[in-house]
Amino acid sequence: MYRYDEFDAAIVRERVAEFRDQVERRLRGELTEDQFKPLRLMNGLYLQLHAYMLRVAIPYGVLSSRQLERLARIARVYDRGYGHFTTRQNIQFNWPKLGDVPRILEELAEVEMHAIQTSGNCIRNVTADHFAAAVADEVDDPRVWSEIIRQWSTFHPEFSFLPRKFKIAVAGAPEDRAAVQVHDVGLHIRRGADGSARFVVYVGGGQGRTPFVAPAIHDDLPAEHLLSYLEAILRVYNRYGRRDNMYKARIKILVSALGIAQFRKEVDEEWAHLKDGALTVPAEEVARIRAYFAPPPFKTLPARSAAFEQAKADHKRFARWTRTNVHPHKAPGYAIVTVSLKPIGQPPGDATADQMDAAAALARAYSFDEIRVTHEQNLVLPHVEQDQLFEVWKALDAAGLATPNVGLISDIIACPGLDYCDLANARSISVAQAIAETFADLDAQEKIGELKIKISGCINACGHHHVGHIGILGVDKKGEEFYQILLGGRADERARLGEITGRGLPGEAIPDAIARVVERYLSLRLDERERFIDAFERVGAQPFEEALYASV
Amino acid sequence: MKTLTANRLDDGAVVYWDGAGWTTDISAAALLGAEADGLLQQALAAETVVVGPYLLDMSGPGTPDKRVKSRETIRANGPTVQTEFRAGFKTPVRA
Ligand code: SF4
Repeated sequence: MYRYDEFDAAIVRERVAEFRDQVERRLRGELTEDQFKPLRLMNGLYLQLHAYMLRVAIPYGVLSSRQLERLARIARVYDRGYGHFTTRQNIQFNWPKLGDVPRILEELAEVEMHAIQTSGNCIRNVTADHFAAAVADEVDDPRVWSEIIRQWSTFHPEFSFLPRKFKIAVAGAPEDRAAVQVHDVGLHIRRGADGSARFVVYVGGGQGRTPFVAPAIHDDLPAEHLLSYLEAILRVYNRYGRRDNMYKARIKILVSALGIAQFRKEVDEEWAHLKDGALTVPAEEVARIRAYFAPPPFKTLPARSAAFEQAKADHKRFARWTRTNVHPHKAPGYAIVTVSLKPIGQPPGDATADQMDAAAALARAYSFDEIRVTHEQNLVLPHVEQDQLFEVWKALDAAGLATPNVGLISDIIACPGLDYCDLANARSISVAQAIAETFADLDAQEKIGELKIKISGCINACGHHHVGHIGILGVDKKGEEFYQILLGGRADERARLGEITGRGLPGEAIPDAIARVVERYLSLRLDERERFIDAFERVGAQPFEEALYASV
Repeated sequence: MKTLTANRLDDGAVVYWDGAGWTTDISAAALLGAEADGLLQQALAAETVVVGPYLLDMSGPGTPDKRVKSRETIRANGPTVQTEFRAGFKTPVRA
């Protein structure tokens, strides 16, 4: 795994010392709130509804056991015993005290973590496919390129004050698990004609108030030109992005206003000055960074584990869990385990300190010390021997981490919403809980199959409602919470925005409304292999929309 | 009828002006008349104890106006989820 070099560590330490001083001055009244607010935001510290919230970066969603244990410790010692994993592969602590934050940042720095690039109009923490380097069909490891981007973008002097925040996501396999087409820049690695890794570059995607699926600006970018090309995109954006209007400042608005052809022309002109210059990524540098992500020492194992097959035959609950939470691995005899943070009735993405410790211990014992955070708010143990799956499952089950629902209707993305977030219009978590409880029956969930519900508490769309198979957006109607439903969105390699349905519904009506949509799907699907999203694409929104409003 | 509310500087807790100081208990919040604007200006001029003060419409003692009901009820009572971690929660260890 990538280790901070001396330079990074020194910068982070200086930043923490500086922030300690700033916090002390604020608490003594020597800094005003207006002076202090930008300083705390630069350190990932927000003020939410009930408390401060500290957002900690987990670059491209990769954690070591030691780091996850440190997050557990922070939750236990400085917070209220839990943390919330977000759709940005970050973790948020909901209750830190201002005076404790410098100490928390010091504790994070000890394990090479920080809160840099989690706020402000800079290039934010890069996100990536959580199955990186574990799936057989991967073209190249997205972590390597995410790290190269991280090193280029952190404290980039030219791009510290962009018109607005800027999010980059990287996927390295044909299946896009990183939702790259709804990012400011999405990078999808594919194999070029000569066998080398090339990037399809998407630009101007995003959700929020004005959602767009990004058009491709380049479909065959050689890897060594990645940084010069990104720099060209950022320069064009920095020059023409709308600084006058916060709602029009994201790059998606610029790309849509210019059109992709004109935007590409601007980028190409800029790129002509940069290409083959100092930003060309030298092969030695790629090799140096790649070495940090060298594959763990996999054993030579048979592809099929007799112990695993036997355990499945003997234990029904275990067998069920393997159907949803275990994914094939590229190394024979290994598997990828998704640790569900969606127990029925609990806030999606929350993990207690004890659960974090349990996951960290399992990663150390069974997954080469590695944990991933998914943008779908689950954790992943990327490299588990099939022979050990039963042991891993037992430990996860004991920790409340073995809900067999990954990809199913109760594996809901939900932002913090009005329970925590200062910007919210309505609650998200409670709606997620109510839906999950409606569909608590695991057999029913399995029968329904893959169905992704995504819930945001306001138009900012942190809960990705635009790209949920069923999306739910909280709105405020004169002090009451209402929810707008969207249908047919998807965030994969065939990304599409959901279609907005009719009038919003009150929160209490949502679980039944969703149940009617699901019943309609079950009655019209061709067979069990036709997923909700496939059926939607075959028949369109109308039957589902009818069902949605059937008895209201 | 209004009350003055804000977040406390040191921990961000939701607080209300009770006439003499800040309280976390909305039922103890002072219902303000003409003096409300002056108090808000004072609080804004020196955000040393609390942050982000604003005037909140109330329909009666301890009861936010219905136009701001969902947000202000959750502000007053804490999250409706993770209720075990609501106000009153004590950090168990200090290592
Ligand atoms: S979508 Fe809105 S309510 Fe949800 S976390 Fe983002 S800003 Fe807050």
